[in-house]
Amino acid sequence: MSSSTTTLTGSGGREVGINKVPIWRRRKAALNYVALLPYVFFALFPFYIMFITSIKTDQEINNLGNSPFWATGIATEHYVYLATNTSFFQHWFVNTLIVTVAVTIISVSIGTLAAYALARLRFRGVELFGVAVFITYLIPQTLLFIPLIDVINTIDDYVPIRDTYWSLILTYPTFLIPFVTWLLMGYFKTIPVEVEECAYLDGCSRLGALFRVVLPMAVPGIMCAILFSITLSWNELLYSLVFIQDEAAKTISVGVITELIRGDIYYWGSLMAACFIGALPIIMIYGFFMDYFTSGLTAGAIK
Amino acid sequence: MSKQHDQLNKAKKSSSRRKFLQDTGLVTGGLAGILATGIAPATAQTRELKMLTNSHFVPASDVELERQLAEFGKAAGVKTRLDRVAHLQLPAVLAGEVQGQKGHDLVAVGNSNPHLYAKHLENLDGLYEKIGKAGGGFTTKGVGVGPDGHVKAIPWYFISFPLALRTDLIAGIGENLPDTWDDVHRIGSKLKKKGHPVGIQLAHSVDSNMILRGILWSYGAKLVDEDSKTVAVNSKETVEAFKFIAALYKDAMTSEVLAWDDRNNNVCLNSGKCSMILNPISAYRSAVKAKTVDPDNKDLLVHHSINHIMPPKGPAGRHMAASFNNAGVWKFAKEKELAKEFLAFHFSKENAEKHLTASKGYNQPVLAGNALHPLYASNSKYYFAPFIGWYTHAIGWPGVPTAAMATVTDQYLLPDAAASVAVGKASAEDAVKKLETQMKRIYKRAAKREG
Repeated sequence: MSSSTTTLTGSGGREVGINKVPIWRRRKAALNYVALLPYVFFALFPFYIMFITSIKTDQEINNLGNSPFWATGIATEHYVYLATNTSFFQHWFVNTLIVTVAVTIISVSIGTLAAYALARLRFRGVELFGVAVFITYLIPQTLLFIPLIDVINTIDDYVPIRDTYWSLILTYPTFLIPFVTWLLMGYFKTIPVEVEECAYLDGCSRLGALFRVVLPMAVPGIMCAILFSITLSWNELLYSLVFIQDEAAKTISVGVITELIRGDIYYWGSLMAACFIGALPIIMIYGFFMDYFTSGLTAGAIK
Repeated sequence: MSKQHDQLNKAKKSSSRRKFLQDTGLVTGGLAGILATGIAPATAQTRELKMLTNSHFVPASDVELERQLAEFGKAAGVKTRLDRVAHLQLPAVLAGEVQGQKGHDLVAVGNSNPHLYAKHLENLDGLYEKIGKAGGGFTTKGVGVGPDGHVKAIPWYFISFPLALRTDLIAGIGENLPDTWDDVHRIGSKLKKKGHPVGIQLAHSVDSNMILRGILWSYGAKLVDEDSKTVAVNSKETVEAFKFIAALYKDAMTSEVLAWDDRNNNVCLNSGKCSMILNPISAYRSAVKAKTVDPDNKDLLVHHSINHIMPPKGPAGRHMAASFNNAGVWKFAKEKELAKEFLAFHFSKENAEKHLTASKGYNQPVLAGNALHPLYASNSKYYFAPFIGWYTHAIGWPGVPTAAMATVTDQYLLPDAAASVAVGKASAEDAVKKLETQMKRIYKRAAKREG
């Protein structure tokens, strides 16, 4: 917003400031920011209300006469409750982090290779494979979890993975790999084949070209896939609910509703505190990698 | 609370990077070894009794249940584990366990679930008889029973719906406490004008399903006949009940109730806004915990002027539905006998009393011997509790809670029908006819499924 000025020496040695940004442009910029305000408000309002509610006392939350948008004081009791009366920090947060990191690595690694193969290699049925991947992504989790229970139970007969985060590390890629593959397929198609061919001429193998040339060029798309994988696995509820009931193995999404929603009694303050803290890592990641995210999305969209 | 939590988590291990790496090694190495040998590891054969229930309204109740499990496990020489999930998520976990034929040994199966999962639950007739005999008999009829007439789950406790009201507001307009639904309408209409409406959900919530049944029954209407199979909702009594609900909505309630879930009526009463709601004692207990202040009188803590009385009566008497929780044993459980032994242990007079006390009276007993528990005499707000069972029925009444009734309940057909009449989208007659059609379709499908 700040306009830069340059100083010139005029006649008589007088310094004259010249504004390089014309007024009409500054007005336009101001209008743009004003137009953005409602969207910013819409995007940040949930976080604001989570935070404000989390610092209210129970008495204040239950008093309908008070404004829901402002707190009269700062109460830390709900954060203390989370720390002392639940496994939020001790287990749920750590479990969610482990699952998210592991699942993202697995899904993005496999999805990237699959996407490259479907985008570049020519073999019989490649189109069909592409469509099949897309269709797989469209199958809702509420249907997929039923056969997956049998898979997890069969493995559990030999290796105890039920009630551990391993059941999630094994099952989350079932919906993430198709997603990552589909997303990156589009992105790889935007990278000119000629660049790869140059790498072959310089003596690269197919894998060498992939790792030395294609992947560095696809970083925005891969970052976008990573961000989506992180978000989806961080927020996942159904598999986590069905495969894990052990208190110490739960993830944030299930742990929070188990401990803080008890029938018709909602621990609103602690719930909002948990949601706020739970959302922070995602907010930070998006904050740091937003540019990759947007360019990855748009590049993938137009091939 | 902190102490209770410590107890809950005492034996639980912390997650760490080292544990993650150890687990990685275990799974990778284990899988390789097992696939090579085809033999399950010895760790999989450790005896453990596992129980699944919903997170209780009162956390201390879970702590006491876990303590009893641990005590039983110590005596039996087995490990024990109590797992909990939020009550609205419990059906998904039960469905998952049935699908995979693997999971916990003992499970909480509420209302119609013993009927719904009858094929997968052990027959507990002998245990039911033994527990009933020792406890003075069960006060419930047909609860926990499967379609074949066998007991599939032991009735555990019920959660009743008394009329929770602000005695000061009612006295303030020179009225006595309401005894009938007409009283609720009259008093509620007056109090709504003063900014204190009645709060009964006409929405997708458990409370709405329960309370609206109570109103229908009080007007002589019923959803099904005593045989639990014949849909009997299309009657002039149901039409009258719907007309009453519409009048109550128009004169004594606000449109908020159309979007309420189970907690909103609690908040409405606790905040000092609502004059009357039908709810378990959780609303009152939340007001005690939150120490909410009356917005019109800053010196008054709202809970001081809340009390509970019997649900109102209608032309056909006093009736109300309740949520019944039952305990069942899966047929695919690894520790069936242990699970049954634990149930006998848990339902012993001493342990049942401890569980009731820990729940602060929330777990209303289904055994006649525990109905007049001293806890209910210790607080005038609970005086209703020992007697509300006389007027309380399970959701399938006058039949039993069946799988078909579970579908009717889970699809919120009754709240939708009542709401459509209340807002004038349908006449009472049309709403009843539509409800009948929807129910008949569900019952036809259920009959086909059960053969």
